[in-house]
Amino acid sequence: MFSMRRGRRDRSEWSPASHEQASASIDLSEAELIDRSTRGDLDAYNAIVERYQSAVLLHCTALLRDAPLAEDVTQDTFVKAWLGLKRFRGDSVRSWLMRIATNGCLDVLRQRTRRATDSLDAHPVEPVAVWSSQTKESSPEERSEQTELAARLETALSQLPDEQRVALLMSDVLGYDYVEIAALTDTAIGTVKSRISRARARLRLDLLADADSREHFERYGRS
Amino acid sequence: MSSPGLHNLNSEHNRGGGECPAFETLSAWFDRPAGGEEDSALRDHIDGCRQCQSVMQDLSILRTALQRSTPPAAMRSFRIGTDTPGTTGRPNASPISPPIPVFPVAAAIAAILVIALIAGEMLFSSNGGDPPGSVSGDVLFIDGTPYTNDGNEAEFNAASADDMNGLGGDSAGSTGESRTDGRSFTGWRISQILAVVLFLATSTLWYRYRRNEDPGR
Repeated sequence: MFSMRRGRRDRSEWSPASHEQASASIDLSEAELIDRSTRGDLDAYNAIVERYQSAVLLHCTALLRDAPLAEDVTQDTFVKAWLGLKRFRGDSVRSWLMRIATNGCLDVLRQRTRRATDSLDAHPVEPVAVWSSQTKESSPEERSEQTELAARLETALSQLPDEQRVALLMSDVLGYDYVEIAALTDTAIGTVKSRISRARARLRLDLLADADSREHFERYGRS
Repeated sequence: MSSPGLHNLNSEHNRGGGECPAFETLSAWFDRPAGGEEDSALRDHIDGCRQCQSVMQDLSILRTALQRSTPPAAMRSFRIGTDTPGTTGRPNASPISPPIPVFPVAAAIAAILVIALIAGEMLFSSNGGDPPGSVSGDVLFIDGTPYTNDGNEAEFNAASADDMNGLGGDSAGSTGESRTDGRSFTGWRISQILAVVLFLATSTLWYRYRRNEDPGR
């Protein structure tokens, strides 16, 4: 059901050579793996895990922007899917896993927001930028500028409502279209469209309002 | 810079003709699927409008920045084993036992109780507002006949027609039981509250149970 619209990220399946047993099972059809898994065959289920783990991890990393947290949610996704396997209705394993992962990410984000709100002595935490674009050729000045831009972007992103941020990241980073985002987040297409638009409007206002800042981001995009 | 939601333009910048579309329209246009059906009027407008093109460029810059700022994912195996926390409920290679449907049954019972209580309440309300065997003020209904207590707790007298004016309530719902303390009515209310609380609690638990069972919902 879900396909990458622009293929921006490498979504090739990751299969470490150490799991030979799973690799043998991976030749089986998905329906057969699901059938076996539903009957309690953990090896068959782990073949499914091998097949989708990189996609789920990329999904969670893009939405949470926090690699260790994304690993936790990915693991949790596969455990939840295992425990809820009998409710799988046989459409697409991938979309089912992505829905579980999206729900998991949203739960984590909501908990984080709630904790920050509830905590009496909560201080605003500066988001840590993980800027993946710094190339070896970058000069120290360029690296410094990129780090600063990254921090500004992360701060602006962190100020968006969770639902808007997730919709925007699913669209711009993961490349899902509106229909897919609506299905994954269990919302109407119009709501998805509106959330993405609001998120972009806010980011544009925060990051590209003045010509100088706009130029920096533009240069960053080209570098 | 103009508001990101609306941007009316002067004609110098707008050679595309017509009023500029809302930001949401431009944002959706930016996301249009490649090769999909295009709104030619909108395309013509954007092609001829510097400000709309600027919006498109901003959206492109933002997208690039977001893509490049995503942290790299550290690949590792997420295979699960019988010792993985959270999987103890599913032993390896054993048939899955269906969960005991405790919450659905409890929720159904609570829902029936609530419906019965609300229906009963509505029935009594339509008949004058007094549930069975209840006492309304100083008037006691026994077999449809109103009695008043004239100061003597043990003795009730048939009320005159004048006494009944304004006291309200016929006794169509009376059962013939004679009670004077209104305890039954209080119990009725408590039952209603308990049923509602039970219904809400079981519904919540049921939702959480279903969510755990089917996390993709």
